[in-house]
Amino acid sequence: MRAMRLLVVEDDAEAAAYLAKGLRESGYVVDHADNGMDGLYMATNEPYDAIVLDRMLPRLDGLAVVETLRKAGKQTPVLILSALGEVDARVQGLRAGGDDYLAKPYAFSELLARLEALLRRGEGQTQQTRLQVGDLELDLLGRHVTRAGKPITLQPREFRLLEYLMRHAGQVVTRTMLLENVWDYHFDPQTNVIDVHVSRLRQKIDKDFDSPLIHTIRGAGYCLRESD
Amino acid sequence: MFRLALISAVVFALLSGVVLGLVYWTTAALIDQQTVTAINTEMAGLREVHRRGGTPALISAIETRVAGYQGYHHIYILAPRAGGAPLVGNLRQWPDVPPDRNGWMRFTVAGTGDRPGQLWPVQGRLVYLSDGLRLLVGRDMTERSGFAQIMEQSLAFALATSLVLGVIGGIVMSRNLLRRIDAVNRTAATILEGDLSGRVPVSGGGDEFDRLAINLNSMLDRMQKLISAMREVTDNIAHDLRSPLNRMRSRLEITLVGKPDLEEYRRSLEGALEDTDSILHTFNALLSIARIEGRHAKETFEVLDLSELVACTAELYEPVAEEREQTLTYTPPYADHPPTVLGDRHLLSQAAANLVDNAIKYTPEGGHISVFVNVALGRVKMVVSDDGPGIPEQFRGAVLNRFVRLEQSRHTAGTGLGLSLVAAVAELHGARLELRDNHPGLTVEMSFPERAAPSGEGEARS
Repeated sequence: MRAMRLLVVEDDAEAAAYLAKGLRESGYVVDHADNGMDGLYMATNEPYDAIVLDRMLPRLDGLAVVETLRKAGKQTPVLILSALGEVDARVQGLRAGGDDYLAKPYAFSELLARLEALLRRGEGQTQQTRLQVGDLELDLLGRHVTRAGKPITLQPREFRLLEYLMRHAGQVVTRTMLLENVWDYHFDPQTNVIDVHVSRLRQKIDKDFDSPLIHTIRGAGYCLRESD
Repeated sequence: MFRLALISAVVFALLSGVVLGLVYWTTAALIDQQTVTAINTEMAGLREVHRRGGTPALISAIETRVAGYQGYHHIYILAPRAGGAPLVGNLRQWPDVPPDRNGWMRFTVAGTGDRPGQLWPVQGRLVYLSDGLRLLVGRDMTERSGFAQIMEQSLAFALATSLVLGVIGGIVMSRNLLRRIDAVNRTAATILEGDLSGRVPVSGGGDEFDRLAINLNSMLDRMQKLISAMREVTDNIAHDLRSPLNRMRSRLEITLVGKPDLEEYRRSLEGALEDTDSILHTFNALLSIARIEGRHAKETFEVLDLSELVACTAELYEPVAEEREQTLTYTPPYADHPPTVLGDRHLLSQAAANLVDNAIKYTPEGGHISVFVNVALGRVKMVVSDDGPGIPEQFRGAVLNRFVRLEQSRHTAGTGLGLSLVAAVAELHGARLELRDNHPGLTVEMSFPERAAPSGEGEARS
């Protein structure tokens, strides 16, 4: 499998260096631009798999870069990084054409997980009516779940949680991603509510079976995949 | 101050001048009109005499009239048209003034008899008669010019008086005005010196100045509140971030000083990362409270169903309560319409989450937390109750402030910012926040003004 190519557009040289180092260690090929104009030029002319874009950039603002890119017909996934963490700022970023929005300061594991989700997005997920991971099956139309043929009863929210995990099977999914996508909560609850929900789901999915499907990734989040 | 007084005096004087001038002009016109009518009537009478009896009759008529009057109140003179000595009349000679188009003449006559040497103003009319004669009938205008003189004098007097009164009135008025402006200036100066408690005095008369003062004062109140909120944030950041920063610093320093192995390095870095996260968490919470408090724009506000939002929060926290062997129940409102309020969805979710989070955190295992929304008398209430230790009455106000955590709960995790965020959200939404005794435990009630959903949305829902 060829390595994924990423473009990092970030004007803070030190932050960009750490970010690029982290991404390279995670197996990506990384290019860096330190201003909006160069970033836009590179994004238009090189076939990147995804772009990590700072919102406030010299010469051309991050939002303008995404807008121009989208107008030019480029659909490269864009993850916007910003010091503006308000929900309104996030809505602006997504409206401009960004695919995801992450407020600074962020955890690198969070960025990595979101990037992964963006890169894998669109991998044969169109019009699926059925999700399957190992012997776990989820029927989106009938809204029922079975494992090894045995039916599992889930609450509506548990169903959505499992659906999200299964759509991102094999990827690390962070607690914030779950809060945002399953609950539409854009703030940080003081208690780790997500852990409790996941452990409840685990009870139903994994308890009576030999090999667990839901795995906790320390310092990052969760991952649904078949055990090795 | 003097300029203002002068302007008011001049305006005042101009006004009285205009009024007096108008009176003078209309009265003079009336007198003139009367004189003209009298002369015309007399002239018509004399011409009638002339037409009937010819010149001799006219002469005798004039003689009779002249004999009947003393002085020059009535003037008559009949003379040949070509000039020469007058035939009859009380003027010795024809006045040397050219008549206007209609024969009117104004001239003066030197007086004799009781007023020798005095000049009498006269207005008269000249008529050419058929047999080569000319007749002049006139009236004394002394009264008219006397009236003019009186009017001129009173005009001058009125102008002088109104000027003086105007200056005095202006001084009094502007002194009053300036005194009040000065009060505003003094307040501004006090504030510039750094004393933010200065306020503009309100006289209580309810005039424009009072309204200005009240507006300025409420502006100052808001500013003072924002400034003290900011100061508090800075103080609190310093206070609450100093200890974790210090902890992190020592941890890193001591790791470097010792002779650590790789595993110890890893542990130290992990600890530092945890410290950073907790610092960031506090920092973010502080920032979002400050942002909510500083916000005024309500563009993110929408009409939303509070019971839906609270039900979602209860659902999110229910497993957390269960894990602590608590029960969390949510009771929807008993009403025929959805309890809608105007608000920001995310902020209200966060406030609800903080209240439920607190209730779970401060209630011992086995406790019960009840959450409900109800709507009554135009208000929508969100109520979170627990049967934990509660908050003693004297501390209930204090816990809404930042960082206040009661001593008994110091061991519990959290930034101590949960309730202050709820208070900030309540204020932004114009909601009342009330903490009550639940016998035992704590009841927190947030009461919003009800806002009916737009009709289309309401129908769609029902």
